[in-house]
Amino acid sequence: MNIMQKQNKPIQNYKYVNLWNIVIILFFCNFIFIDNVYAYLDPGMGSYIFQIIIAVFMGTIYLIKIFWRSIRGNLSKIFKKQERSDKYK
Amino acid sequence: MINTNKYILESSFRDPDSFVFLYQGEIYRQINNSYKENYLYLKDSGLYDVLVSKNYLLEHREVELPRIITPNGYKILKAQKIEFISYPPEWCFSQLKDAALLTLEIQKIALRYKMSLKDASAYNIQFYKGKPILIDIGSFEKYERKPWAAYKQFCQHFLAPLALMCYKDIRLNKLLNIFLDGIPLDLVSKMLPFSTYFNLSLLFHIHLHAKSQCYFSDTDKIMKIKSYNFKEISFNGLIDSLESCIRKMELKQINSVWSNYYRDFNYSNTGFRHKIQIIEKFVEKIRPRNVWDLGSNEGIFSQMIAEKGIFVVSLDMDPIVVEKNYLKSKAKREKNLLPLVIDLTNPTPSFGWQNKERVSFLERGPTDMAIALALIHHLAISNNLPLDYIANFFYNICTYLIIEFIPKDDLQVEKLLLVRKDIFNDYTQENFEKIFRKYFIIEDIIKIIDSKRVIYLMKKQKI
Repeated sequence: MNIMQKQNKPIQNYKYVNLWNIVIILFFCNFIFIDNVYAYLDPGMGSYIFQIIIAVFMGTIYLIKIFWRSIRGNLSKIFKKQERSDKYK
Repeated sequence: MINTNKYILESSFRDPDSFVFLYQGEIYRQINNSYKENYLYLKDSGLYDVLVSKNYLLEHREVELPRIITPNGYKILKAQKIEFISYPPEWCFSQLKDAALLTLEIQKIALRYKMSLKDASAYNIQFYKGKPILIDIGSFEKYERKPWAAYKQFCQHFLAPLALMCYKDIRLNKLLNIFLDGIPLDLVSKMLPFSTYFNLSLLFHIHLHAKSQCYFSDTDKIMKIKSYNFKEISFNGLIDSLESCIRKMELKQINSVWSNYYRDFNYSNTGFRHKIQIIEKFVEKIRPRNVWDLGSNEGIFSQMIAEKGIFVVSLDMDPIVVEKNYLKSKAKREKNLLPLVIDLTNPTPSFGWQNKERVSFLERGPTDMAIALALIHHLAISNNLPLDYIANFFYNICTYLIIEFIPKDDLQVEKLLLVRKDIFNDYTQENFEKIFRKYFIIEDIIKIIDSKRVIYLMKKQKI
């Protein structure tokens, strides 16, 4: 339940929808060409903002991964138990 | 009481919170008052102890002497000594990969203690007892729900060169020699093959990241998002994504011209065994504290010497053989071996601010003993280096020298001369001995069984 709440929370916030639009625009821009980044413009700023843009995506993927790992872990435990009980039979 | 400012290392000027200095042959770090709060939190939270116990962070002991004299000083720490300082452009693929994974692991642990790395420079990692270790205790700051300050640096210092080495060409790590603060992402994005756009992690962390650096370089767009609350789950997601991307990177290229060197016919089995015995005998006789194995190939001799408890820097210009050397020593958990990719005809120069920030390879010497096996013909014939230059080079880097002379009628030298005019009339054993005697005392000469090759043990002369 906690996991689901955490997953839904950010998506309800309208700010994220705008940020997702930027991701999609950036994605398609990439297939045209990459501009040069010159030293007098600090690329550190772009990296900072970029993390905010992808934050929801990274967070969601991470939650799904944890969720999937826990399911897989539980299933393997169940199967191992079954294997053991089969051996005793 | 000393003025620590006098002894500051040239590389230690970026961080206003602390600096490193060399005093009476020992390495110290002064923590400044500006870092006091973070330093105390690092120690009191238990993070420091956890990282040191796992050998992830270099141990630093608080000392009373030398005393602080700079007004902003808070504490002086004595750092454990690293045998040999190496730089990321000198590392092979797996060394850089291990260093990257260590940085991410430290960040993950730090986050559990509500701390974060404020920088992720590859120069903050060194190899200590065969494993990567973080040497900068001043890299930690309290986590304040902000995006990762070191994200750009991590991508430029680790992800970018690893991606280029893995998906383009293994030699591209040498770009780190040109770009001191990591390879610019727009350049990496252009160089990587189109197929990497379909790798979700590389699409985000390299291609889109590069594009966003360009797009957001206009500060007006930034103001609205500046007070953003970056959630811990997003932070963990970012680190996890980088980690899984790097873990998946594997080298496809496993052979090079040099990687079959030992399999090609150079010695009979008896001859090769005899060569090993000669090297063992010479090393046992001298018992040096450290050795540089120059042109070490896959490091057969380096590993043999390292097993005797002698620290060996094992150099070769070929990144594939250095990769094999590192993986082998890692599997053996060898603590005394450091394989590095260095071309002796063009060794790492001094670079960075005023050409002093990072020290050249030769300035990191001299060593007690240099070993140059099956190397001289490459220097003299492939690189047209006069024997006098070669002898002078060895004179400057070592006290003892084990060197193998390969005569002109050797198969390998014949191969080198196959497609070029023989202009090397001076390249004879007699002349080799005559010239090397100017710089060294020849202590022993042994001819290898079933071979025309000869191994010398020499000691530096006082000129």
